[in-house]
Amino acid sequence: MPNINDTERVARKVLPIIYVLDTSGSMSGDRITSVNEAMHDTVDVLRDVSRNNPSAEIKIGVLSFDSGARWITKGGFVYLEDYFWNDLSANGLTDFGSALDELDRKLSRSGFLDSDVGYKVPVIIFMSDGYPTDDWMGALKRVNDSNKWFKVATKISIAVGDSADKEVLATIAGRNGRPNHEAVISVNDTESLKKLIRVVSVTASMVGSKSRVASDSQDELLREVKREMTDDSSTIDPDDLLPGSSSHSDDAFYGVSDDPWSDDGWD
Amino acid sequence: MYETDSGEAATWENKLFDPDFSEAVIRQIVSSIVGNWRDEILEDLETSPLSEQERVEASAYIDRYDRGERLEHIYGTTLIAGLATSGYLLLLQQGDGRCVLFSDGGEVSQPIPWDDSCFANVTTSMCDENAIDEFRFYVQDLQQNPVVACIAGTDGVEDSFYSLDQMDGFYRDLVIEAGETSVRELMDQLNKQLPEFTATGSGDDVTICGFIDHEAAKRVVDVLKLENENVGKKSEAARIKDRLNSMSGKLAYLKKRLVEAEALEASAAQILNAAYAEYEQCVSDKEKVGTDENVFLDGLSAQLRKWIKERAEDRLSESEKSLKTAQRDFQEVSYQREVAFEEHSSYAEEYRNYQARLDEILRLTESGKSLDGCDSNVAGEIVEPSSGNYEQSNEKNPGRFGVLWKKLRGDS
Repeated sequence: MPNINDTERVARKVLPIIYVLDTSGSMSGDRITSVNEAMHDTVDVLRDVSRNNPSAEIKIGVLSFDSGARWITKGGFVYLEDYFWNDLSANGLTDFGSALDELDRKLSRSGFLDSDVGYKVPVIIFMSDGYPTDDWMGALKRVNDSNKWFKVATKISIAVGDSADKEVLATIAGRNGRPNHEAVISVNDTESLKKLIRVVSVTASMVGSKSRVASDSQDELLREVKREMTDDSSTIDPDDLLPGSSSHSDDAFYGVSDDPWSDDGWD
Repeated sequence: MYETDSGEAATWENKLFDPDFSEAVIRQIVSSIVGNWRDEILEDLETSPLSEQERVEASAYIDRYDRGERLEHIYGTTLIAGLATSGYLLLLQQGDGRCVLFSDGGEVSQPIPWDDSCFANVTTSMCDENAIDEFRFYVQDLQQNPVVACIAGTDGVEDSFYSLDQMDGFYRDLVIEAGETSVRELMDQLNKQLPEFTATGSGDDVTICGFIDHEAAKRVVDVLKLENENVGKKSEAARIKDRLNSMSGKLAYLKKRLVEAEALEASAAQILNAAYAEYEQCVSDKEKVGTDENVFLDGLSAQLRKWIKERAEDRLSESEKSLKTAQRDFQEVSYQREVAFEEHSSYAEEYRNYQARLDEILRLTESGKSLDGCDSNVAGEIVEPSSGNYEQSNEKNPGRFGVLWKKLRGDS
């Protein structure tokens, strides 16, 4: 009788975590620096989480978009031990539609999801600070209509700064083309952005590895992220996590400058 | 046509093979199953209402449940069912999980059509509102196409394997066991091992059921064993290929980092060499102007001689500082180059080991033809570490600038 210990290494299903990052010109300076620092830190934390997670092995994909979109992880999703972060720079427009088209192309058996049984529902983390400069609505309709992986993926959006178009982010993270404002988390300072990227990544890896209905995954992810982020009250105001929230007037939180992202507002 | 005891049953069962009627007959069966299931769960809910803990866990839906809506949702489940008679095999499925069939030649198949709504960790369920329509089915005439075994497993089984081929291999092993010992022996073993399967495999609950014709299984044991050998290699090859693909980007990145570190070291070495030369020149100049009998100073006033000597000392002191800075910089970039070398070297070795194992697997098969799609052309370069460019030394990788290292340590 084949003993389980004699069977070839039993593999955990792969949980793809995909970062879709805005690298347009407005992200330059402190914002892209924060993203780079956060991604360096996050991968280390994810390695620990993955090691202790019996039900899923994490693979990372990074898709950046500015004037066009491109996969930073070109050959497909990479295992955490093979993952390295090469700092991104920011320049160009905000072609969100191109990013959605790329997701449509690669979230498929002929793309990066090449196994019959190997993959759990992906987690997609969108991050942007501005307005799309291409036909993002057409691209979103196409990918929602034809791509079952995108449709059921657990999606969450990070709105960076006050100029981010939260309605667009809510629509992209929504289901069946309907916006989900609760899936958009706003952040307005570098430390919070770094923490949020880390918290979202780790929480997504734990929530995404369970078998469940896709909408349940998104709701649980958002609940857990909100809980983690509001545990440390010095970094973020809970109101920022509520749907439709706008920036608040806590000067102490934002610092001296009216625009927290201006050069004189930051270290 | 085949004989049965009941003429009515024969007519009903014959319709299973009639394309004009088979779907209607099977949908009728499915409707009965779903209807009976719903009755059973509603009765269970009456006698065992949700506990407080269960109500908390179902908080997202409890309001609907309390209104009596969608109560089936509480009992959501997938289903695989099989019925084998002397004449036919009928298989039904709702949701995920897999049902594999072994022909009398030992070939394995999954004959029930797949529902693309079931993928990743998403599945349809008996509790869906259109559960009856979602059912898939398969009928086989056993008189024409006898089977050795039909085995079904929940998704916890397939989740424990890297590929469906590997999962098929596991089920082949079960049939082999039944053929070599007995079906009863197989069941006893499964009852002991399945909890361990859950613990060390997918982590999900695991159920396996089915039927095996012991005599037929005995006849195909050798065929199944041979196929499993190939499947094992194919699975391993696929995993290695996946890992090589994953490694290719980082390998190229580490190589680029190493090349940059070597260039920096070369540049620092040039500066250091120049600093040494300058220092040695200044030492020589100071010695020249240090003696009173120096012909160079003949005819010059004492004041001028003193000025020249002081300038020589200043220059020597400046060049000494420059030399120390150049030495520090060189040590730093050499250390960075060493780190880059070690990282690239060990990662490249791991990559080469995987590649070598893949090549070995392909060589071990019959011209690789049983490993479709698993050639050794993987993405990414196979990069040799740069050790060939470095001087061999007893020191831990002093690199091509071994002479400079010796100078820094004060070795001759």
